[in-house]
Amino acid sequence: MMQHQAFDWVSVAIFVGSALVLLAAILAYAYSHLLAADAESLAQLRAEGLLTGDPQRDFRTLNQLLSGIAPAVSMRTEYWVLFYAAAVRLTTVFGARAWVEVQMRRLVSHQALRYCYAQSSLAAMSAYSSDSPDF
Amino acid sequence: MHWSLGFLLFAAGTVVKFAACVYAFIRTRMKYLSVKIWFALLFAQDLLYWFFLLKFGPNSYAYAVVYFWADFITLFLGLIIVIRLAETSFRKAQIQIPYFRAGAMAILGGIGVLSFVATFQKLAVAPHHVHALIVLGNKLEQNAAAAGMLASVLLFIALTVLLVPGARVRRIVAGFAILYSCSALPMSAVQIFGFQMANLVPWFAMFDLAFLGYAISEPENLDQLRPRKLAARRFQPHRLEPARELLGKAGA
Repeated sequence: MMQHQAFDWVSVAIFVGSALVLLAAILAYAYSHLLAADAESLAQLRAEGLLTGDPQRDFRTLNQLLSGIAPAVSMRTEYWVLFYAAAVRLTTVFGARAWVEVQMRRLVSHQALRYCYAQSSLAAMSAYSSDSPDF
Repeated sequence: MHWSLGFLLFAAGTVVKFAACVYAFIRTRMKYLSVKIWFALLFAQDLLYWFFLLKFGPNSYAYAVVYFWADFITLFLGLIIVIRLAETSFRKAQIQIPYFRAGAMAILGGIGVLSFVATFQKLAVAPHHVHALIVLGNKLEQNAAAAGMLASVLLFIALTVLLVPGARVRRIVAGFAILYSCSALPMSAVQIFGFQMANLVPWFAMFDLAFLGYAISEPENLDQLRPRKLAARRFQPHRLEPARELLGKAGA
């Protein structure tokens, strides 16, 4: 304790509050990335038979696919996606299954969109590498 | 001068600030200029720290005063930028909140007055070697960071509830919430456990600036991403085999 002060309850409250807010803010940061996702890519991949409709399984499949082509297109699965998915799974302990389902679908949509962009980037890059003499 | 781990971390933090600042300016050009100018100010603040640190030493009175007060001033300016971001976002979504700016400024003023009163009440029983300016600077920094943290979280909730469009503005607001909570956490630890906790500051500073720099420089949508020549040079066709196998299984 600082010797010139009595026990500072305001500082204790700020210390505990800021730790909680830090965790919430990281989750909010992760959540804000999911807003760009749409259902179009998801529907496309479902039509191709790549996805089953089970969000947990689809999420794993898309992660594996992205990790397969990641070195080529610089689109690795970001840590915040994995962190958010882990946090969402953790909330099943509290029984919020409907919310978990919605969030997992959001994550799958996001990963599906990234996978589609990764595929198009890969095609563009392959074309570039075949054209480029110094590749 | 003794170069401890804390100094090396501080130096690394300065480099991270510079890199994040340059990266944000290059990637997004004139968008969110106020946030990027604030970022540049953070880097300038680090240069000021280094000047006082090298000239007067880490245990000097001048360095301590500059350290806490410069941090408080940049955090306060950051709060004004958060208020400005909120105003711009609400205006774009055609949402009007009466007396928003005046109310926010009144709250900030209130925090300043409360910090001043709380500090000088306690200093009445403080030993003489604890200088009022240093303690007040530390207290103001802690309270400004706490206010910024709450303001950022409230703003993020408001943007979500009011369905204000824009993914990047949300990321920046969340980045501000991370930055302020990362400032409030070590500063409140200093208030509770003593000044040796100031060693936590560079770790948190590096973490939060990396987040905010990434939030500013990342494009609004994924379709703005383009394959880069560097990535093409790293292209490794054999790494595609696991993906092809998975695709084959899915097709079958």
